[in-house]
Amino acid sequence: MTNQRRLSRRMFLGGGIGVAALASNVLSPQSAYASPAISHTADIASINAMSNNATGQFSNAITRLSLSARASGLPFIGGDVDPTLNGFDPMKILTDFDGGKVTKLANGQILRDYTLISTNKDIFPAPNQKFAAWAYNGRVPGPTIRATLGDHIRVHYINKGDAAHGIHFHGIHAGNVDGGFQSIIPGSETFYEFDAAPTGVHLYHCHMASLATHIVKGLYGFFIIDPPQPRPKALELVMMMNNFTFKPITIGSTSDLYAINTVAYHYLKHPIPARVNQLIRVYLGNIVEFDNLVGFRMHNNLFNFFPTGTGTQPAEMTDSVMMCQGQRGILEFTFKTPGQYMFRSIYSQATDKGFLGAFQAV
Amino acid sequence: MINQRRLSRRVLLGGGIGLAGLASNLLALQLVPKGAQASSAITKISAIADIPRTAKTSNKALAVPASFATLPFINPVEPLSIGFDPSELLVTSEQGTVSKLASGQTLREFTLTVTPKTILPAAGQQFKALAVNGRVPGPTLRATQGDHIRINFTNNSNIALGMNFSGIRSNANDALLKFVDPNASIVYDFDAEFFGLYLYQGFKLPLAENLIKGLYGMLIIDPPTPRPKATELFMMLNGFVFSPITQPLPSSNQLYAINTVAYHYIRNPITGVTANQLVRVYLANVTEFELLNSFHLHGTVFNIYRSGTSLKPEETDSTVMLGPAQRAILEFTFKLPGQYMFHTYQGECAEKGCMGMFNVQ
Repeated sequence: MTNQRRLSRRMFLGGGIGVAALASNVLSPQSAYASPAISHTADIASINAMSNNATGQFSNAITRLSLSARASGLPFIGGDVDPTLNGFDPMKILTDFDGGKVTKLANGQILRDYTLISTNKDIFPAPNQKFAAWAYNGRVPGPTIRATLGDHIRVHYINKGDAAHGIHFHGIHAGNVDGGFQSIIPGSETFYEFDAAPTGVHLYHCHMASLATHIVKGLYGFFIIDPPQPRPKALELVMMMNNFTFKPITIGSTSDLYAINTVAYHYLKHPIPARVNQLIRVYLGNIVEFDNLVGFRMHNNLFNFFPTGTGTQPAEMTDSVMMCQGQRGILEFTFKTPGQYMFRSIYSQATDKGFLGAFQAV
Repeated sequence: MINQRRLSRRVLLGGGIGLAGLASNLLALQLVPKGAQASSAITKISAIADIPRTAKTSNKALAVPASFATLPFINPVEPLSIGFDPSELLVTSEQGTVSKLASGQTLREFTLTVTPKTILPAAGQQFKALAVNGRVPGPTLRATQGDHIRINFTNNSNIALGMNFSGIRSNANDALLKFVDPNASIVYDFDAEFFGLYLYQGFKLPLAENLIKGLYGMLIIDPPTPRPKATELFMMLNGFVFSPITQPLPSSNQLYAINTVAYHYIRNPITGVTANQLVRVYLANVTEFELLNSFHLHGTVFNIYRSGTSLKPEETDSTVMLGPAQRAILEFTFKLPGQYMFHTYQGECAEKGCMGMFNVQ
């Protein structure tokens, strides 16, 4: 009953999705979770080619917006951040899921081994805006750790930074692997080990004090636990709403820059390629520090919203969701017609400081 | 299960309303081809006309506590005429000019014009607004699921801007593609695909300083089977900053209101509502510079339909919280006659004007 009043999945899926690329759900080191994800990387080039062949309308629109934004003096809108400078590309972070190294335990349970290494790292959330980050595996947000409900997770954590850190995982685990109590001093390492539960979109982050500092400096990432029965096939994207300050970090600091996946306006300057009628599933999280709330708003579309991703029924069909820090959710939607579709913060202030992007649907 | 813990409509309705119209109020949203909507759309056109429009406001029964006298903007003098009356905005929606497309689909045409206008959110407090059709908020547009909507939009302001409609799934109207230069016009065309409570908002960067000028209004898409008959009220939570907006951005507004004029519904309580009569509030929040706003009602509780996209309430409460651009439909009855206050729960916002009253007979 609840289902019927939401956007139906059948309508979402249309007829347009090729099945050939989806057949291989076998265990392998890099795609071992029960993934419903459609390969995006392979599709980006052809979608971009199609966009450029279209009327040129889209690039004109973005140019116009950029010009308008520059004219209005918005910070961070000009120029572009070279991904090689950061060592990570926000476009790739969208679809980069880490299933770990997969083996089987004697009892038949799947074991996933991950290695996370934290380092000090300078990153550029906007052109010429250097930020002295702390990063897991060289990226902010850290790798998206993904497993299926009931898998056994083993995370080998190595601290190569210059401050004590750790990893605290959301979800269900024993107190002694919480990661919130145990300081891993520079040059040392540890293991976190637990069964993946419950199904949903969770976070992990460093829990050392001051928490605000360790979070805003970049020590966080997604931890996705898939249901045993995979969700319907979709283009799956992770979007971490995050922020940075270029002032000293203290209690009462304010945010200077907002983004999805670290780089301000990245998906406005490089719209996310997608296909019309293709089911899109966004794993959305809010790690924004200093602000009590952040929200996500989609233009010219509606999505089904699954708070925390722990349920299989959407709680609401809407275009705007609001989250406090640490909250997460899953958005499911399709684009009905080709073109570009903006998304932004529900807060104008955050939109005006980098939290604005677009999809390119063909 | 969910149903059981909610106020049932039977409870809400009391004994006053015939049950015949209720059988279909839990109909699931089923998507049917556009053509098939035509007959239900016709039904709905007449149904809209049948909705009681009895609510009105009166300044006769004022019983403001003495302690209110110290609040800013509580001035008992209503602002001088500014071309629109919040008591009218409260109960007025537009159904557009209705015709039929060749396909049989109902076409609703609306005209929206943005014009600079000085308004008075409180007596003596001038605000240089960008008003839609001469009012802030702009007109409440109303259609039925399955209709086709056409907006004839004219921008008579001095900035290029677009109008962005939520609730639609098409980029054909995107504010980026269809930026409208000053003194230019454009037509936005789209289908009313899903019933719900939506917004239209101007789009012009920087957003913060432009949206606050008044570039917003509600778009209501009714379900094919009308919601139960009720007294329907349209309430926009908004705010104003009178000084120029510069960096760093203000952390709050100088005045807050429901439908623009501070304390209007305190000076002019909402009348025409009787005990046990179903009231439906279409509530939206466009307050800038606040992380959230809310609506709290005294003396009763309401069912909350977030975004209005479901016919089942998600929650029953006397308070609902909304972030910017979020909306909800609230349904409630008052059990007994009397005066019932409503206000935002954020103290500062309430004390700067976001407060009103029902005077229930």
